[in-house]
Amino acid sequence: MADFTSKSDQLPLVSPSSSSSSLHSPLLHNSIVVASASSPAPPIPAAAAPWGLHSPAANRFAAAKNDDDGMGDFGRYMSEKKRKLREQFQADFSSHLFGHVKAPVAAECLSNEEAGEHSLIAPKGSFEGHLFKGVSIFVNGFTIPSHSELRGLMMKYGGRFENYFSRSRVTHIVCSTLPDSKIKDSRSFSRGLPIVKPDWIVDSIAQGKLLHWASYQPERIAYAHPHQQKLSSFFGSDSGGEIDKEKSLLQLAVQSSSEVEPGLSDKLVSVLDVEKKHSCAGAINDTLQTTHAQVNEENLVKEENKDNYAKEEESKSTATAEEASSDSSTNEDVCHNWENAVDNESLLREDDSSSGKGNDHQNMASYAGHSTLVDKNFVQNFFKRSRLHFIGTWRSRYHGHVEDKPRPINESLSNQTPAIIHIDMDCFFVAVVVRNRPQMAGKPVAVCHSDSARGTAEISSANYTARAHGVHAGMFVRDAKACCPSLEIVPYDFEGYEEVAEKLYDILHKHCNQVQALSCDEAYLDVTGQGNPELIAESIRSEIFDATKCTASAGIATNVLLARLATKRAKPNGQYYVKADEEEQFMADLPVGELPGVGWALKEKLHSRNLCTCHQLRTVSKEVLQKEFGLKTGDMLWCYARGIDNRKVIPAQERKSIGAEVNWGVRFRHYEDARKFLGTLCEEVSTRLQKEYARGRTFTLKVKRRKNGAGEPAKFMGCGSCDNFSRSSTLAYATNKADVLLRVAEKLYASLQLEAQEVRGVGLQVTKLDMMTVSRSNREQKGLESWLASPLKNILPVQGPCKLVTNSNSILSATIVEKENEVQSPRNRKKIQADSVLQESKILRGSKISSELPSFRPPALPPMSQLDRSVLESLPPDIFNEIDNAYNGLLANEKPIANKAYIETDVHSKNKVHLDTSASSSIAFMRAVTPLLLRKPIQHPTNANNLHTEHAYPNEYLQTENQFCKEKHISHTSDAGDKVVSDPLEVVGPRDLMPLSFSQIDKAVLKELPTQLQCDLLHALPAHSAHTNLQHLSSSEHNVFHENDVFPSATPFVANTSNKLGMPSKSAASQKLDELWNGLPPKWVRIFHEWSGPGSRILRIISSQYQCRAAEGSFASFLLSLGPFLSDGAFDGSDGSDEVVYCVLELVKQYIQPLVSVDLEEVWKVLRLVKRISSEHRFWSEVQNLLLPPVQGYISDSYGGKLNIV
Amino acid sequence: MKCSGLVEKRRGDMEQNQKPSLGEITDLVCEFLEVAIHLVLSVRGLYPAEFFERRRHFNVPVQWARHPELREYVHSAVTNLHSWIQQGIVEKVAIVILDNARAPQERFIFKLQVDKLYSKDFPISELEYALRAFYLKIPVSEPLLRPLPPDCTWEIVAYSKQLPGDGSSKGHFWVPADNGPWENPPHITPIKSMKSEPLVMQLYVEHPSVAEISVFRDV
Repeated sequence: MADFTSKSDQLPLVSPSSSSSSLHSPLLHNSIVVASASSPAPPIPAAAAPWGLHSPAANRFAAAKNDDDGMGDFGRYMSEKKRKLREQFQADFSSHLFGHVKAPVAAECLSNEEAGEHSLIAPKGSFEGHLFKGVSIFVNGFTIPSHSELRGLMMKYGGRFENYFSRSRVTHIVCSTLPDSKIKDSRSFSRGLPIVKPDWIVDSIAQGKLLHWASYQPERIAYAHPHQQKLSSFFGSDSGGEIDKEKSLLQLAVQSSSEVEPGLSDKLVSVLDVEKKHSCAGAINDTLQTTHAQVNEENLVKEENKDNYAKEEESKSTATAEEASSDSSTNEDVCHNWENAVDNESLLREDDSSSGKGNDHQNMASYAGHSTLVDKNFVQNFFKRSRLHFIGTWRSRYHGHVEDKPRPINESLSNQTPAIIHIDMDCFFVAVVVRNRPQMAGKPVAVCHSDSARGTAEISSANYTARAHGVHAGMFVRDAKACCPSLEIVPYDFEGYEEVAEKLYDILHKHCNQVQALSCDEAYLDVTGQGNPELIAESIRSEIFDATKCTASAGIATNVLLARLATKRAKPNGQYYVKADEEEQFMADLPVGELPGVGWALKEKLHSRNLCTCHQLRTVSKEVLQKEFGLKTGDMLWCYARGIDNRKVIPAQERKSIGAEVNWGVRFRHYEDARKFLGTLCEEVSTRLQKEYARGRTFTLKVKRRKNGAGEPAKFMGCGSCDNFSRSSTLAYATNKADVLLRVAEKLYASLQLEAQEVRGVGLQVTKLDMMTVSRSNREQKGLESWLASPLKNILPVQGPCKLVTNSNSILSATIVEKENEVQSPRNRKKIQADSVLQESKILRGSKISSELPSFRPPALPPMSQLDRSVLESLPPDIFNEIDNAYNGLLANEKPIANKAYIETDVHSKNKVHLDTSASSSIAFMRAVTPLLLRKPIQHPTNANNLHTEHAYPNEYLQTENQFCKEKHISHTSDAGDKVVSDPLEVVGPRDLMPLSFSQIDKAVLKELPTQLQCDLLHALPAHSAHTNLQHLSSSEHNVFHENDVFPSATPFVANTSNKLGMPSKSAASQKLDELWNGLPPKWVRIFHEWSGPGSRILRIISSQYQCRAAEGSFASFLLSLGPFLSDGAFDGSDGSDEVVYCVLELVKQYIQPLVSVDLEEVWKVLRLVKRISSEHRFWSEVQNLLLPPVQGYISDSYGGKLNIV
Repeated sequence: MKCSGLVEKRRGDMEQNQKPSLGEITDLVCEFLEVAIHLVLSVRGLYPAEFFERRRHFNVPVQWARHPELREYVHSAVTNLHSWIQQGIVEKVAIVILDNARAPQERFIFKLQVDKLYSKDFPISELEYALRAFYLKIPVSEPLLRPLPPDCTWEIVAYSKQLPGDGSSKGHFWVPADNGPWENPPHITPIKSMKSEPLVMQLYVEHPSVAEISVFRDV
């Protein structure tokens, strides 16, 4: 009988005699009163009769409905019913105790499939009665054992059983599964009571003691069945037909209980306050489960159906009810899925639903999905779903949108009365969501990123219906639901916002060219001199409504302030015109708190001085106000009180900073987590910069650290109470590259020295922006990197030389130009590049060459038909021969051409130039430039700087040089250029050719380069030194590039070496000389020992000495010990030992570099020793000359000064 | 004797617990700074020699000012830095010696790098040992320094990486320093460096560059 599917199941109803007892009898709390006085009620044969048909209570109720006094109040009816149910329970209980048990329960238990278990757990005959003493359960939904079995068990073991939930009576809620929303929002569902699975009762009975409930909490469906299909797939097929069917079904149920009128449902709703806490779907789920479980308990079904109906009426939220009534399991799934779909947080949850394991809302594991710990895409998801982010970034999208529009020049309208319209959408965030859901019209709706949770999500916007209930933005959801239980929470619809905002601004721009966007839903329009502003506002508003189905309000006045204030009065969906002569009165009545700029604190201050309205405020003189509230605020108050506002409507402003900050869900375990997070954050910022075509120089890292002693914040995964730290760093060049940002951010983060676990929020902001125009940013893609990377791949031997030269060629020309001109326009620049290339080659070769920058990835030789004849004509014969050779002599077969001078100067003929073969121009150029490089040192022996310039360009230059060395070599051996083309050049990876370290770059030259090139060069530096480079550049902007006096001294050496050795050997040497101090004994000991060639003796002395004395500590003491050996003649001369000098230099430099920041003393000692011995030995003085500048650079970077070497 | 009393107390602690907390390390650093400041004052001859008495700290003889107000100034300055040093906010603590026109002539800079993530079994005695070397080095650094003009005065300046925003009540003892860096990069003379796991400290002296001096002379 107790089986819920059995039609014969009975819920004993109250006997008429007991129902006569007082309705106001004091409620019984937490104790079982054995109501021996009441006799067991005769069960009423229930059969399939509709609810209450034969129920005396229902009869009474029906009677009461007929005469309005008496028990007309449904609440009283329910409370009486509950009381009666309790009495029945007690009656059953006592009868059970006394042995005259009709109690179907026990018998049923045995016949049930769980009979064995039950008989085990219920030792017969014993007085089991007190096991559950003080426990009062409320069974929610489908359970095994069933609802009525549980009732029996509770009866048997001294507990209580509540048919209706009540916070004060129930101690435990029993249910097998719970929908997600209820688990997440378990507090509002359970009111803080423990929720347990029925196993708790069974196990407790089995063990004969009351077990702790904690391990019996229900799991989330999502975890129990991770592969369950999500509703999102079929959600949205919310067909009206289904609703109708369902409605009729419900209607049927209601009608079948003829006594109850539909109007009752409202009251039902108000009684079942618990249910109201549930989300709508949850309630339906409940209902259906209950329906399922208690088919024959008509009264309950009736209640629930009515409840359901009421909910339906209210929300029409889902069509799942019908399906569910036919198939309960589907129903559950559907409902859970619905929860998932509705739940805005499901996005994140889904990510970890398979991995996460948390059946408890207190379980941290379930938090993890939201935090930085688990979600790899946390930053992206965070910003995808952040409203503030939407608003924040909207402006930039708007700028992009507006820039396309022609903006007519505003004629001077100084003589006209200004007319400003302030347009503001009515509760924009809600309105946009609701516009396509007519069923929500007129209902209280609020937008929030999370419906449910334990209600610590904040409402971001609420519609006017909801506002009437006291709901306002910034409230926690739980508070809002307390204010307005029927409040509907809808998620953000960012696409909708975007769309509506776009339409809105389209309309605004159509009507007016002076539009100042305040945010996505709010703008000022200056319609001075465009006719009646009221009419304009009217038509704008109606157009907005037509286009977006959202209403807007408008305030019209003569200035920005008044217009804005007028909008407040106009809302919702209205407009208000403050005419010039009404201003006085309009302002006078205004409470001071309404003035923009008057916040809570200022308002309180004003109120305390009894200044409540603007009228009162006007009585105070400006001087007094300024004295009281400060210069600016006082001035503002004085003006605003008089309705004076001189701000203009300013169309669009450039951004000053770009950044991203995350203060929610940030949890790190250790530094590695933080570093990863910084990485994603930097990527985000970098993306934003790139979207804006901006680069920044100053980077500010903001970190929130948990305040000492602050616990887990009230807001779920929020940052709580925090200390804020910020550090910033300025680079010498502007960047938007994520890896640069990351390096800077990491450095800043490290300098804060925070423990990772304590970090609650991280933000990175970029200021000192360099805005690039769109065209410039396009050019950026053709930056140095692509030049570096592209030509070395897939090169056929024949094309190799051409391409390599092309490569260096373009770089060189670029640098030449950029040294000379600071031309911003890319077009111009290209032109000038071409020109200057021409000039250079003219100067050097005395020949006339037309040359344009070759395309960046020169294809194979272009077909001959594409060659520009005129260019070919102008080529000098030898170059022409080379090209001719490339074309296998076909060119020469063409008609001979007069050697006419042709100089490409016109920008507009660019197209033509592009047709020019890259091969021809590059070869020509190569030949032209070779002497430039090789001759320069000869021509200007004093101007070493020039040559050094070329060394300074790490990769490209080395390559160039490499190229030229080869080229030179080749051209010596062969007169014609034939071999140049046919001789396949060894293809060397660009990175291998990079100079060893930043110190080899002449900063003075670097500084002269445009930022673009600087960036690219720095990026092109080898990874191991890149960090240092940045430090060099960032640590002291002003210091870095003022080392001109220091660095040139290094120049002759580098120039020398490279000239003598050629770059390839240098690069080989430099590779070898990497990280000399690694290992034990250091790498250099072996290298020096095995060194062969001139001067190897020096190195061997050093090496063997070091091996003898290595244990003795510092390098300085080693240098000291070197003393006796210095008298050896090896150190006196320096013939042929440039390489050796270089080795020793690297040795000392690499020793010093890491020590600069930690052991200045040692650095100083080494330098002084070097200085001391250098006075006697030429070798060492050479080393010292080369050593000092970079070391002084390191020192200056770390300490801002120069080491005083005495 | 005040300072050696402190030492003994700390040693007592140490015996019980070999793992010094960051707080203990900071205690030691502050103690050191206090004594070192006295020592620098005596070495630079800012006060007559009689002004100082010989004491012993870290088992090394040091000079210790007799004047109670001076002691108080140094003591309170260093004590108030304690929490900031511990937090790693203080980058440098400098003794700035100013001439009678209040132009800085010399800065003794203690550059501190506190690493909070040191391994816990770092023996504090090692730190003490390293700091002791400073006491020995300071008195012999005089030949490296330039003679000071007469009537010099001095002050303690702390360079922080950020404005300490913890609202600690100790903050109000400090005011923003009014003499900034020199126009030109100064000359740096290192005196002593130490490197240990929790603490890297460098003591060096900054002098104005020659150009700076000539500017001052012109003025």
